[in-house]
Amino acid sequence: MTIINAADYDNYELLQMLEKMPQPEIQISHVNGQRYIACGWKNNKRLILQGTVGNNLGAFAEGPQIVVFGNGQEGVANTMNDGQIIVHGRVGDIAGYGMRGGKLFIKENAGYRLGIHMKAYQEKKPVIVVGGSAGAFAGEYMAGGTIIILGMNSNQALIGSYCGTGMYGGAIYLRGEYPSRNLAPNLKKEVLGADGLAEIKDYLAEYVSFFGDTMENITSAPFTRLSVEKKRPFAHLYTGFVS
Amino acid sequence: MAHNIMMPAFKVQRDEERCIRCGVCVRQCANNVHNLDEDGWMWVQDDKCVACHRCAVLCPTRALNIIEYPLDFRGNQHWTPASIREIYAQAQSGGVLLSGMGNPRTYKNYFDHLLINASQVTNPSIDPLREPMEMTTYLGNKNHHSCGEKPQLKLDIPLMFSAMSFGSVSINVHKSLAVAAKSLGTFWNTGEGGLHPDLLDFGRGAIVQVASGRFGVHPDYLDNSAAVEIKIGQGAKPGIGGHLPGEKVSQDVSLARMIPAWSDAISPAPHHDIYSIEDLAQLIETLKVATRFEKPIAVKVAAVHNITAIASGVVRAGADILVIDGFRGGTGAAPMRIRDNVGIPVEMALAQVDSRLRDEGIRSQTSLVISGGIRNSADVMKAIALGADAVYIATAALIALGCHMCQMCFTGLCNWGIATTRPDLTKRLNPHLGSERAINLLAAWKHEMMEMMGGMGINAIESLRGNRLMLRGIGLSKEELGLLGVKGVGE
Repeated sequence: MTIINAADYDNYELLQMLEKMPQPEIQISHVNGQRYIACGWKNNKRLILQGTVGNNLGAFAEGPQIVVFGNGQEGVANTMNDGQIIVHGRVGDIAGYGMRGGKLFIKENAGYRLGIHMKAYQEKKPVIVVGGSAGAFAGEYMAGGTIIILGMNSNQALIGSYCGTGMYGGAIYLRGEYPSRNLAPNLKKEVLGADGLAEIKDYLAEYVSFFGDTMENITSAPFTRLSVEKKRPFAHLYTGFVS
Repeated sequence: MAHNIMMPAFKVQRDEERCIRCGVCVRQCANNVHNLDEDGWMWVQDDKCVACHRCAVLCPTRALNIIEYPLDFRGNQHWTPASIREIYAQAQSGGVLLSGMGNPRTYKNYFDHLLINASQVTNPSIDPLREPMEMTTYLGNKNHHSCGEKPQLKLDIPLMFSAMSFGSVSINVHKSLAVAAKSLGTFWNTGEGGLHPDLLDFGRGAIVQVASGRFGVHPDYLDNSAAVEIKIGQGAKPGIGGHLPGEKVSQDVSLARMIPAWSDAISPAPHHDIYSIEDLAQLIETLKVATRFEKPIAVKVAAVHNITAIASGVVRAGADILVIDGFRGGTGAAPMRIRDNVGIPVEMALAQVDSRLRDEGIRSQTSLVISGGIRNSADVMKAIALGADAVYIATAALIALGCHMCQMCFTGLCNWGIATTRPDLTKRLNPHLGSERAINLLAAWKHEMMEMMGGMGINAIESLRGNRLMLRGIGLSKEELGLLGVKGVGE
């Protein structure tokens, strides 16, 4: 494995160097807010980042396998097409905005607007698993994919206000108690038994393998699945009109 | 449900002596206006007619005519028929009024108050038929002092096809415009609905959009493009998001956008990763990094009240091309109140932004492209003289393909195969003929522009750019002349 010290380069030098490096696995130490790492990458390179990564980590990317030993800032996996990002810490706002594929695992909390406007089509199914809690507007405008919020390592409420507002596809899984105030009214809420977790069992197992904890502990609390009954929540808002 | 008290908007007239009961009108009308009984009896449902003229144009014996419904309300200058009918529609449905295409109201049109100059005696005119006329235009950041040369778009004419998404328009519109753009040496724009797999070969000729819904945005889409355009807003509906009605989200559209079929495609009002100019700068930078600094990044905003300050911010954020869409800009669907009452004329926005960017010394960092209701080559000339580097057209291009401006794009029932995703309607637009008509239109405009430039004694489009001395205002107040930066006629 190749090891780089991020402090030796400016932001763009670092990006250009990473882009050119042929090595399949690169470790970068002393990451301190560098933006756009792996942005737009179309490869399966493995990056191990130590420190706090800057905004838009893996934005528009397709394929990179990224592990962050530290925290992420805004826009982690923004419009990501494929790949995997594992953050051993917390992330800021709009993680997974418009995500179209791949997986994002976050050990601790996520900020506002987690996974908004995620999409899915056939084999492309984006997944976000948050070990802690998520801020307001999680899953807003969600069109597809899966968001799982576990609340394992957090003292905050599991979700903020307006979770799933304007959602028209996909599913949000909430573990344990969650505040129902300001939850979008059109959401279908199903409390799941042990057999209801089949759809997300593999994702939970991956979470356990990355961050420790046990499956027994995770499944000790009931899960609620949020989804939409109507695909067209706004169908009756408008009136066509021949003037 | 309350009793519907709305009378039809249009009346279909059939000349019984000419009608041969062939049934073309019945088959052509997706709105089911025309009906032919088994016993040969033809009858119409006026209230379903949108005046798209498809039946009248295709009627082999010219037996059909469509007129505004002749039943008049009692004359009233304040409560016009339209304002009364709008209330009927809302009282019936409780819905937000939806409409298509651009603002049709009677606001002042500044293009129609500007006149173009010509040479007489003191400097000779140039005949474009005999002498070369340079129309090439480069779009991008021209400030090469720092960080070397920036990527540019090379246009053989200062005209491009503006953003219309696959979904809002049919695949055959995209095919027509993609082929036409390639042949004309210019670019087309995918709009925000992604690039259809059939058109991958035309990606390099496309400006690809990244809008708030991020539909169809992936690394190959960004790479396989001429430039990337961040859509912040559009002139037909500044400040609000997009809404592709579920009726138009067919399997194909669903695939391109990665959303469930027949669901509404919602573009949020803002990009949720852009809440400030600094955030915009970050998305611009992200896209530059993602495309390895090989492509110009455009930012499209609607012309609104504070457009000069916004434009300054957008340029400082790093936009290589700034697109300003005026309030006449078209749309596949917009709330009528917003379309008709929000935004400002692009002529005024353009003149003010061009001046502001010059005053601030940052005009060379960006190319200015305007759009929104450009109807002909004279509008293009005036826009360039006011300071535009190039002009986007969309409505004019659709009219060239057969659009009859019925403004019902949001229904998905476009009888001309334009604003629809239904395969049986889509195939009515033949992309070979469509591209030919779009090429004809722009070739004709290009020649008209060369004639006008020649008349001024100008032989390069660059010499017209921002050359407001070539314009005079007519019927404008001193204040308006000042804002446009042009002299009045006679001055």
